[in-house]
Amino acid sequence: MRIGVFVCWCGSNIKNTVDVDAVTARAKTMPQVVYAQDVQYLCSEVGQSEIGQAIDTHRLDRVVVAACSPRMHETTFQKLMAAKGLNPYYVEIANIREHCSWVHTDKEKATVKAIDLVKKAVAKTAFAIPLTSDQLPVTKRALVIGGGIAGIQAALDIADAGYPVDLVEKESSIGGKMAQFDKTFPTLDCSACILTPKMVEAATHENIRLYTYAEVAAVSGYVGNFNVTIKQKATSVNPEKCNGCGDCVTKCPKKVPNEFDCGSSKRKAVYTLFPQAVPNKPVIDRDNCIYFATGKCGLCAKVCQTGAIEYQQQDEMIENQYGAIVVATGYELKVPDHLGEYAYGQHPDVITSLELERMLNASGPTSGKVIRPSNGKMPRRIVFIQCVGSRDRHDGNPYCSKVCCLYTAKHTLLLNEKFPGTESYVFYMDVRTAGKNYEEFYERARQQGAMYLRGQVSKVEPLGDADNRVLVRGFDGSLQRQVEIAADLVVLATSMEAQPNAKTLGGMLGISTDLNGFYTEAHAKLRPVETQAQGVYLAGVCHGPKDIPEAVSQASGAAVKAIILFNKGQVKSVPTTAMVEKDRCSGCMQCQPVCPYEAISQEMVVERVHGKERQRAVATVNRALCQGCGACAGLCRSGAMDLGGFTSRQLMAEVDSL
Amino acid sequence: MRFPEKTASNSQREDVKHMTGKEVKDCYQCMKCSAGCPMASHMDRLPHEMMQLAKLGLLEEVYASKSLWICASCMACSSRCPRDLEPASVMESFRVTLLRETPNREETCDGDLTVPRQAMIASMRKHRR
Repeated sequence: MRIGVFVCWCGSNIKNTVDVDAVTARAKTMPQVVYAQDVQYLCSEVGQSEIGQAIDTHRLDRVVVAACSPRMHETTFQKLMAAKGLNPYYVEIANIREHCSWVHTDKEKATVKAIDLVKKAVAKTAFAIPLTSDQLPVTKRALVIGGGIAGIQAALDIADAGYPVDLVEKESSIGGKMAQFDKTFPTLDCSACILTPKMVEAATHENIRLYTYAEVAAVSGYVGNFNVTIKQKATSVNPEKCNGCGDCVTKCPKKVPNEFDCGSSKRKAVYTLFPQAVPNKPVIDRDNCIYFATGKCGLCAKVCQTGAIEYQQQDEMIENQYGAIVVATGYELKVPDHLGEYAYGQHPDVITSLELERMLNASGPTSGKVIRPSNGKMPRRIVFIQCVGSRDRHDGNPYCSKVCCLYTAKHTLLLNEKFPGTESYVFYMDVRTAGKNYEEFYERARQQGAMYLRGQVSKVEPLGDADNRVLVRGFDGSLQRQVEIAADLVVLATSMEAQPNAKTLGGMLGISTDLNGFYTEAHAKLRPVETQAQGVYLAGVCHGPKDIPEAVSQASGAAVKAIILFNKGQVKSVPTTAMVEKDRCSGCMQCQPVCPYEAISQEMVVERVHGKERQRAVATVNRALCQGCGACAGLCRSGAMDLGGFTSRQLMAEVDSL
Repeated sequence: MRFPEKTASNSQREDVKHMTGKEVKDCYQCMKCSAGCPMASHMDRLPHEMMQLAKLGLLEEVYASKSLWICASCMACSSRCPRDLEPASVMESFRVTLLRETPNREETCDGDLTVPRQAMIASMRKHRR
């Protein structure tokens, strides 16, 4: 065996903290090492050709690269190995940057550690076995989870590329949060006017199948071959028969708070989400329906002329195969009643921005009029409070919700335009207008009269006057004084949060959530729409707070990733899969239940014992399903299960070398 | 400080705009004016505060401030304002307004002119002639 060791400087990243000359010199003395060299940048073309030449000249068959994390450049070096006719898994990486130079300051000790890391890698690669990957077929159908603007855009893009898409939405209509908005910044386009054409397009597209009032119940499989169970909730209305006349809604006697209007209006127990709903067929909310509670009523069935009401409908489980999944599950707004100082929920005239948005909307609870919920009169002086529950480590979310600065500017503009004479005060900590034409929009809001006061509000309390106004106590950083404003209405820019079930869905999909519950991308800069699970892509706010243009761009990005996968038509399987040494396997099958990918099954082997043929059960791994997590290898008590690239022999060699 | 029920009316705000030739609402409170003001240590309200008060329509506080008379019109703020608001000119216009409202001050010019002298100078400086 002829091992070559290459030590990278990574410019000054490694060289400043690790004595690369000493590491190289020491590497030359390690067992089976026939060549060692240090290079300024191993990942550069020069560095690559140095390795290539050394392989040729010194007839190397194993290569150890002491450089950055394998997450950065493992594939670079693997490709080089393949080009040289060597197995890609004959290269081993000693991470002397992230694991050494970046985290240490003492050069002497860091050098000792770097030498140890190289020693370990050399010992490991000596026992490396060649690994190959297989080509697996891809199911050319995509699943988009979430029918908000991001999900709709992703579905449309994939469908336009000619691939079938299923769009799953938990509400009875697609549209998401954007359907609740009145206008959109920075152009003040009517939200519905730009959204509904896309909704209709999604509903009528020949390649898109909508599953509304449905949720993803289970996911198994892997990239190119996901098995997904969709739970179609019973709508109690037969969509084939229903003509959308709305008679059932009119006659329904049960009224419940309308979630679409943040509870500020009532809806019936049988309802359509909003006037432009797609599909525009009502559903019966069984938790609130009198018939489902008592078995009486049944008015909707009586008035329905087409006999579309079907109380006996059952939830349905639909199983489908998909090649790629786009997650676009969006967000929820935090109800700010946890911050007592803002009196939300205590004083009726303290509302959230979305409640104001619904009021401004012509199809909202007040038909576009802005009123004080306490007395129905028009407010004259409105105070906006920014960062309510955002950027708040004490009692909220530590992150910035990103869109509040702009939608508050939008609200002040709309109020000034629709109701001249209203005064808008905005208490803020920072105004963040990073986006095309956003600064200009903010400027326009200020010019139209919005008065910005830098400083957070400490208390909102009833003023106790005849009008039942509220007193907002804040501070103006410019005047360096406490200020008090007697306001008619207080609007809280409340925080965007991950969906409450984001973790559960993430668990099903094999993708992780960050500290704040948003899904984690594969790489913060260079792979922002991909996830750690191959074939699962992110779009919209489920990945972190975003505005509409950003969510739409990300959705198109996610769609393209799925399209690339479908165009290729096949995927490479994971080469580092589990392997069973059948002679050692006792057939206890303890590995089967721990496998998260259902890749392990039982097979019978024929053995000759004392001249007799005997059948014996052993475990076997489906290489297409195995993702190389290693759970089985860690558990196997007879040591029969090994993980390619990380065999027990290799790991023991590493430990022994130290 | 409790905000008055009525802040400056639209017409008052228009007057300020007309007089200063600048839209004080454009001020985003970067505070560069106060940062470079050589008279800042003598002022009861710093230049950026004057801008903010004008912006908020709290004109009574503007007129009550001594800073108006401490401003040396060195124009450092005006030459550096990123919004081109010329805080020195804004200050000057407030002075002019006050002086106009009190025609019998000592500084009034002799002769037929009833315009205060300082207002004359201010006007010349403001209009650069």
